[in-house]
Amino acid sequence: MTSWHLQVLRWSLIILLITIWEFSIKYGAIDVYYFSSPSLIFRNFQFWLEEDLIFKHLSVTLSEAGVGFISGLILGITLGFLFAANPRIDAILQPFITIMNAMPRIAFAPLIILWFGFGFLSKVVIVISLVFFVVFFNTYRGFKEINPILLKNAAVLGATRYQILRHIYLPATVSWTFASLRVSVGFAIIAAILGEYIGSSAGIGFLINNAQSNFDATGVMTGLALLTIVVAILDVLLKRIESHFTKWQVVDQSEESKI
Amino acid sequence: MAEQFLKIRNANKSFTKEGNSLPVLNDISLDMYTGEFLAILGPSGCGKSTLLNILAGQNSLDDGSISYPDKPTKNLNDRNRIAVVWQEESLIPWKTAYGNIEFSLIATQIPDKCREEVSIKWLHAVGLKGFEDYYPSQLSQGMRKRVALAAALSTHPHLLLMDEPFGALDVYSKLQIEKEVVRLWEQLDTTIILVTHDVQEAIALSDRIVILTQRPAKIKSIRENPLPRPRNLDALYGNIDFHNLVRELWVELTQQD
Ligand SMILES: Nc1ncnc2c1ncn2[C@@H]1O[C@H](COP(=O)(O)OP(=O)(O)OP(=O)(O)O)[C@@H](O)[C@H]1O
Ligand SMILES: [Mg+2]
Repeated sequence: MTSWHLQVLRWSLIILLITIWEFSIKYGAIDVYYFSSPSLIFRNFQFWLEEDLIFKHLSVTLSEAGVGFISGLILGITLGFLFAANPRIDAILQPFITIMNAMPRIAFAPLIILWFGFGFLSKVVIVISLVFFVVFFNTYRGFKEINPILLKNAAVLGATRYQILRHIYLPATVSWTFASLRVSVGFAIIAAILGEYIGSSAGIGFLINNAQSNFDATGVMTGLALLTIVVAILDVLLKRIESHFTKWQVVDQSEESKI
Repeated sequence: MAEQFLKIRNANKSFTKEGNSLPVLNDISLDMYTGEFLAILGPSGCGKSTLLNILAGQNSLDDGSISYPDKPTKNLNDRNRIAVVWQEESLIPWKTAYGNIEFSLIATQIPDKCREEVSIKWLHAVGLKGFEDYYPSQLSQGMRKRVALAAALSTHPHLLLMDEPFGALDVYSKLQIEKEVVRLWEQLDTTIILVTHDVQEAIALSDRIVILTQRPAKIKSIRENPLPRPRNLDALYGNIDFHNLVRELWVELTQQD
C-alpha cells in the first residue's frame, strides 16, 4: 500500500466516524447533553475564535509547556551529562533519582500548586518535573552507552578532550535526547493541562475545566479537539527534527518513561 | 639491516578477575625494524589483541618494557604516530563513511584544508567511491572494515596495528584490499603489525611471522619470510615456496605442545 493510499484511508475513517457521530445525535441514538456533536463543536469553535478565546488561552498553555519544556530540557541534559561523567556524584545520587523517577510525580501536582500558586509558575514547575526525568535518563543513557572502542580509538589517534566531547560524547548524547523529544513534548502539554485543571485562571485546561463545571459537553469537546490538533501539528514538526538528528540509526531507541 | 623501530622486552601481563589471576602474556620479547611488516599468528584467546592494546597505549604491562629506540621520546604514543584497525567495529555510527575518515584526520590534528581531499582519496583507495554519505549501519560488514582501514591509513601512522582486519571479506575482496594495503605500505614506509588467523594471508603480506602459543602467549617461533619483494599477490598461489611455507606454519600452528 502506498503512503498516499494510506492517507486517503485514514482520512476516510475519520470522516466516517464524525459522520456516524453526527447522525447518531441527530436521530437520538446518543444523548447530545453528554456527547455534544461535531456541528455543535464546530460552531463553538467559531464562537471561541470570534471571542478571541482560542489565541488567548492557547498561548497561555503553550507558553507554560514551552518554558517548562525548555527548562526541563536544559536541566535534564546538564544533570544527565554531569551524572554520567562523574562516577562519584553518580554513585551517591543515582538511587535518589531512580526513586524519584519511580514515584507517580503527577500526584505531586496539587502540592506544587499549593507552593507556587495558581499562576504561570506552578504550571511550569509541573511541566519541568515531568520533562526533566525523561531527558535526564535519556541523556544519561546516551552517555553511558557510548561504545568504549570509539573512545579508545580517538585516544590512540591523539584526539583532544574537546574533540572527543564534540565528536563523540555530544552527538551520542544528543541523539538519545532527541529520540525522546516527542515523548517529552507530549508530557509537557499533558502536565500544563493537568496543572490548569487543578487550579488556574487561564489556558486550555482552564477552558475545559470551566465548561465541565457548567455541564457543557460541547465546551469540553472543543477544548479537547483543539488540543488534539495542536499536538498533531507539533508531532509532525518534531518527527522532522527527530529524523534529522537520528537518521544514522536503524532502530528506534528512546527510553520508555512514564508520567 | 634497517634501523630498529620497536623493542619489546620480557613483557608480562595478567588480568585479574574475581581475585583470580589470568596470565595472558608470558615473557614476550620482540624487535621490529622501521618499515617492517610483521604478522602475528596464534590461537584464539591467546592474547594477541591484548598485546596490540598494550602497544597502542590502552593497557599497561605488569612488567617488562616497550620502547622505540630511534625516537627521542620513550613513548611513541604522541600525536599522529599510531593507528589501529580494531578487531571490533570501531566506526562512529553517527558519522558517514566520509565523516569517519575525516574524524581520524581531525583527531590527528591534520589541518582543515587538506582533510577533504585526503578523506576522499582514501575512501576511493579502499574501493568505496560513491559511498561517501553512507552511515555505518547502511554499509556491509566488509565495507565497514574497509572504512576503518582507510581511516587508519589516512593518518599516515608510523605504526599501524591491524587486528583481523580482513576476516569479514570474501576471497576476492580480500585479495583486492590486501594488494591495496601492500601497495600503500610500500609507499608509506609504515611499520605494520597484522594479527590474523589466516596462515596464507600472514605469509602473503608479511616480512616476518611470529607464532604465539596458547594462553598465556609465549613466542613459539619467529619465521623470516623468504618470499621476495615486491610480491605479486595474484601469482603467489602458483609459487611453490609459498605453499611449502604455508604447510610448515600450518603444522606448527596446529601442533599442541
Ligand atoms: N579486560 C579483560 N579482563 C579480563 N580478561 C581479559 C580482558 N581482556 C582479555 N582478557 C582475557 O585475555 C585473554 C586473551 O584475550 P585477547 O582478546 O587478547 O585474545 P586474542 O588472542 O585476541 O583472541 P582472538 O583471536 O579470539 O581475538 C582471553 O582469555 C581473555 O579472556
Ligand atoms: Mg583478538
